[in-house]
Amino acid sequence: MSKIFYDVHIHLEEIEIELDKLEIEHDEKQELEHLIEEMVHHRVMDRLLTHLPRAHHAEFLDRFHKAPYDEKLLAWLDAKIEKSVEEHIKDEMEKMKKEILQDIKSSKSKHK
Amino acid sequence: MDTAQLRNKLKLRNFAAKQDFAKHHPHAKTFFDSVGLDLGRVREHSAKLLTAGALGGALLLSAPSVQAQTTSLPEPIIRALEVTTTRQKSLDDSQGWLVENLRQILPPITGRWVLPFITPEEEKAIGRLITQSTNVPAVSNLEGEHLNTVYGYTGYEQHLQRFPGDTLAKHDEFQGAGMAPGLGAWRWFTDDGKLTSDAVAREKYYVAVQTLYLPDWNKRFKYLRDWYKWRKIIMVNADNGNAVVAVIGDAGPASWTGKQFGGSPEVMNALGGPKYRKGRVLLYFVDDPENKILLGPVEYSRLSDVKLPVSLTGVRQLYEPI
Repeated sequence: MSKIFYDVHIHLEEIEIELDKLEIEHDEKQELEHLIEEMVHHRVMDRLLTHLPRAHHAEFLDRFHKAPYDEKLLAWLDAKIEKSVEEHIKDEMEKMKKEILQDIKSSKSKHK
Repeated sequence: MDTAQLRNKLKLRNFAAKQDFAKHHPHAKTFFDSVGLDLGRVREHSAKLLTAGALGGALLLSAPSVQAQTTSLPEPIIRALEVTTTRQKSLDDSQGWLVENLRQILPPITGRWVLPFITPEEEKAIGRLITQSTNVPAVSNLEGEHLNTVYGYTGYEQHLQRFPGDTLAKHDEFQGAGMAPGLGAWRWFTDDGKLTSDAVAREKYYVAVQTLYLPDWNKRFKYLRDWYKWRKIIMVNADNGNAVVAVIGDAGPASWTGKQFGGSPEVMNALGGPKYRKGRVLLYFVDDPENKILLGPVEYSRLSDVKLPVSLTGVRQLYEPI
């Protein structure tokens, strides 16, 4: 199965619900979902690397490349990052979610 | 709804996220470039690694058994053997037999994101349990194709438009589910533009699978798109054994929803009743080259010629190569 070690902390159901309501073709919806998917990975990794001491970056990147699904990475990061990894990821995703929901809302209202 | 505007906004945000990442961590960007990893597509990379790992594991598991007949069976299979040999099931209780075996074999799901890994041996064993109890030939690999997972959560999907001008009122059941505003991944369900009984059945009993995350989806797009279109599958509720034969009629859901599959209103009703919205399921291809198996719920009570293994020898055959 296709999973990433931080999936457990990604909660974007509200975006899913809003996208489902849009009157768009399947391909268009998939394109939007893919844009969001790419954002998730870039923003989560950006946040994690920002808070992970530089000395551990090489090891983390290597482990991530070799086994992005490895849930042990969460505990490994937790031991090296000040605030909990879960809080960092959830906080970043909450920000992203608000931005996207705002985009959806404004796109709807301008059309009215 | 201004879709173009939304797409542009998301593209800008997407671009900014990539730019920020590269600007804040140029060494990480360089590293990913050097190993050929596109961070935005890391899920496909992960799927490739897991598939390679599973195949490697399968070779390791199968190799000793070729050399020595005394080699132990994998643990989950032993567990399955114990269950089926200690419980003598009657022929009309194949659903209970299946549920009991699945309970023993399937690893628990501890969270919606923490799906356990099923080895190829386990996949095959589960497929044979399903085949044995439902009379529907269930395989995880068909013509060399395999989904990223056969085990996960399914969500509740809406009706799909079957033909140009289709409306919700023209669907005879579960109108409360609504109809998706856009078309499904394979567009209309009709046969040469005609709404045949087969076309109606396909929309009634369709599932969505995550074809977009297949490791080679982009490379073999045309072939895979056609291969998966209306591919016959069986979806089994892992908790109660309810099963339904359906076709792949849509692609999705997105990975960040925490679900791996979707089911039409009729499929979900067959699996868990009218209020069933999400649950743990197995999804296998149906090996039906002559297209003899009808779409719809598996009615266990009507299965008269199901033969369940009641001895160790009989059960062991489930796990032996075909």
